[in-house]
Amino acid sequence: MKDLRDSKDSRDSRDLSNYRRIIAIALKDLRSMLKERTFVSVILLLVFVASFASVLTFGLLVLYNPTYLNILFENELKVGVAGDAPVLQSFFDGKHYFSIEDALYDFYSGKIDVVLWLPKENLTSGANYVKVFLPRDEVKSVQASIVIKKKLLEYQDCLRKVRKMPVGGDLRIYTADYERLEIPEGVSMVFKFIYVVLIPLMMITTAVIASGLFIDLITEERETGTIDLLVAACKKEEIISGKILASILLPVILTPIWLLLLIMNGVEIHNFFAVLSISYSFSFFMISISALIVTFFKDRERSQLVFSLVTVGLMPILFIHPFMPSPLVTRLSAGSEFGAELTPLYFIISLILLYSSKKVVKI
Amino acid sequence: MMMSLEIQKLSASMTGILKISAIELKKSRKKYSKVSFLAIILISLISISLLYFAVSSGIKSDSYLYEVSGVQIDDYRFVTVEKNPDIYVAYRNGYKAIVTGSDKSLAAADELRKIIRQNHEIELYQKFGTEAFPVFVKAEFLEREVKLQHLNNSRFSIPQIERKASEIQSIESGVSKSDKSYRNDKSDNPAKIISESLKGSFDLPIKQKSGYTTPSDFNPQSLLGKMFLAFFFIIPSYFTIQLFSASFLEDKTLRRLDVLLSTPLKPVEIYLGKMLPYLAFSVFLILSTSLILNESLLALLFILPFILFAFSLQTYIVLLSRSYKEMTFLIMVSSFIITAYLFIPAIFSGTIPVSKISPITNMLSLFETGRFDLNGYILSTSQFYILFAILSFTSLKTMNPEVMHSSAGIERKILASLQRWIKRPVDCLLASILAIPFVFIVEFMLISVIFSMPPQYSIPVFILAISLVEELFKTSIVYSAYKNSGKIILSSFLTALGFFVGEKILTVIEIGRNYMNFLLAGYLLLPLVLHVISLLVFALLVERKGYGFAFGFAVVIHFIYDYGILLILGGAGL
Repeated sequence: MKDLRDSKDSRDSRDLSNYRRIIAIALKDLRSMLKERTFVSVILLLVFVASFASVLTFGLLVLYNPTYLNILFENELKVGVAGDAPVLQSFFDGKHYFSIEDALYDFYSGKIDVVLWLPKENLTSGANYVKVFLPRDEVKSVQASIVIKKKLLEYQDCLRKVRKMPVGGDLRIYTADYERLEIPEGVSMVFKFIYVVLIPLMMITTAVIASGLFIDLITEERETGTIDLLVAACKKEEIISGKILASILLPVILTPIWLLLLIMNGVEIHNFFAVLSISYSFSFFMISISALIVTFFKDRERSQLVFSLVTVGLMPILFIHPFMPSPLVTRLSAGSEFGAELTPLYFIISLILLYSSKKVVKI
Repeated sequence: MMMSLEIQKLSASMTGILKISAIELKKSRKKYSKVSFLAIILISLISISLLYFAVSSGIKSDSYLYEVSGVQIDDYRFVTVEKNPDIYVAYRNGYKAIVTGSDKSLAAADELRKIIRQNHEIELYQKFGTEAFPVFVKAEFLEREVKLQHLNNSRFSIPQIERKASEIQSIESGVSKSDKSYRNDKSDNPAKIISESLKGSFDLPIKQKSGYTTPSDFNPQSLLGKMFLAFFFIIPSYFTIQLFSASFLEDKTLRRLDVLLSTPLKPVEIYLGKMLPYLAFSVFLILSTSLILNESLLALLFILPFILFAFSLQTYIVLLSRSYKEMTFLIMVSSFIITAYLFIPAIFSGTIPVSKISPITNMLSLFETGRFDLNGYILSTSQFYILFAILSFTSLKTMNPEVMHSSAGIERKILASLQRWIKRPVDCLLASILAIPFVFIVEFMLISVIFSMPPQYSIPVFILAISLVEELFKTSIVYSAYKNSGKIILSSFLTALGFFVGEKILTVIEIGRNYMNFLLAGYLLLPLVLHVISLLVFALLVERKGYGFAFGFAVVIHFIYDYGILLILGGAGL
């Protein structure tokens, strides 16, 4: 009985020293990352990813949404209508020209910003082909395009009425108190940018960073020969576990940081822990893939190349099915529960993969 | 005699470069055995197939995003729920919706409104045919010379208008011709335009062609739709650059580079020789992409300068990095920044003149119009050629075991690399002029980052950021010359002068002028006074208090000047 207890105690103390060695290896890598200020680079990368995504969205908003244009325009738009088109002209509070030549002359001299040209208006039947002359490479051109689109849609509705066609296709929106509400065009674009683009992008970037780090941690020890020194002091499995621990600590720390930064910026994050869980699962999954790659391709050059190729192929797949991690993290963070039951399943699978990769990696 | 000596030297250098290239290829052949090569090819093919599959099946990351009750919505974005919907929809004399007021419910209403409009258009088309679409529209973009209105009220001079008269004639005849011809052009027949319009109403407006569209499909001029093409040109080359930097890092870590440097081969021959095989492969990839996408082979001219710049930047990072991890993350950050710098201006193509600083804008414009704009080409690519030359030169000076293998921090290694070529005060003049393209890129990217902040913070934060960036570049140059020559006052004055001259060169370019006005650097000799004062203060403090303190003081002076100018201009209503 005493022997059994002794053997259990010695096993426990062996296990404890194993864990200590694993933690020591992970801490060694984390310390060197702190010394080299790698964390600063990582945070910078995440900030740039978020900013680039927001600039892209702003570009789309400016180009396609009139609500966001006011900040750019100081002066009123001056429109000229050329040709024999009295109804079209009535929609534009601008100057009328009989000849296109006169209109273009005024356009070039800066008296008007845009010219609409319709040689002869067909009111009751047939199509009206309107040609619009806009200034190239001027912000005015964006403003003009949007104003003209709105007016031409009204003109189209007017001609439909004249041709005895039903005008409709509208949605009346009310508040919970049944008060009429006017929602500007394009609000969904801003909403979708945050939840459909930005949050999945941050999740993917974090996972890619962690996996790239794992490849570097293994190949650097291999290529500089320091792995032999580590092997002399620890078991191979402990070294690999230490490296995996260092790599998973990165997303474990980074994910709540970027989620909290989003919250501080006024973004509402629903199902915080479920979002955290999906992001962790995806990072663990990517680390497992990088473990597989580094086992087969040994050196950094080939491993990083193959990892990049795999990432390029894998990323779009993340977006195509409703139950893939990207749509799932979108819905969960936006407050939709559809598919939420998959969250623990993803987490368990990713942990199993991570545990298996500990067995797979050869150093 | 002299000529033949030069030719002999050049031929010896070429031989050296080719020798290194041959060694590099041999090394790669060893590393990429048949099995690993086939595995990589297989993985690439699988990745391309997955990419193709994903693109063809459609990206639906917003599936089941909105929860709705009442009328069932037949759309992948909406899911019907019993309790707590984002939006309640009913139909009685038209569609009506009740929203909760949350951002999500408002977005759901916005999306639903688009779906209802789309369905209405389809119904009309099914009932009335092409008669339901009485209006078609086509945009034509004309270039006119516009001056800033607050600088000059009469925007066009009489000779300018007269010059335009002939253009008007030709446009008018073109208009009449196209007006007659469109009715016969099958590609622009009403049924086809309408069916395209109904098919694509939910997509981003990427299908705008030269032909007519319905008013709902009429959108601002943009090359955004072609933007994805540019990625196909850039991304494959990134893999080649990644291979190059990995191989270069391995040579540095395993001290093979030290061995090569101890041979009679010059550093420039080693550098170009190692780069050549990867550069040749990049060129091959770009040309292949042009052929596969059936676009002009001239795309190479637009992409190559950027690729050269990326090669030189990664070389410099490899030489400065202390470990694989450090290199990976520095390369990740820098690649992201330079890619963003390449693409961000192109997003605003056709809208603001600054979009033309990107070679992508010019390349896509070439694809769209078939016209090669030489001025646009020089404007957009010269910066990358200059950056490639400066970074290559600095890298060559850094290819020294003392600097490469130093365990000092990245900032100290950058200073050490600068000290290897900024030795005399007069070098500061050239170095500070050459710093301008780097400052331009960093500040351009800062605008993008800070821009997303609330306006009350963004202006002071932006001014502080540009003060930090400009003083960082200037003081690094002064410090390098001071460490080598000990002449700090002269170095400071020449750096200030060089920076001022660099800024003025930038203002010669129209785009640069707008930018420098924005950065408050375009006001006569005042910026020179600022540069001289901030650097003289730095010079006085650096000996007694050290670099950090002196740098901080210079930043404060720069910030006060810029903020003061802004307040004065704001007060004057400018």
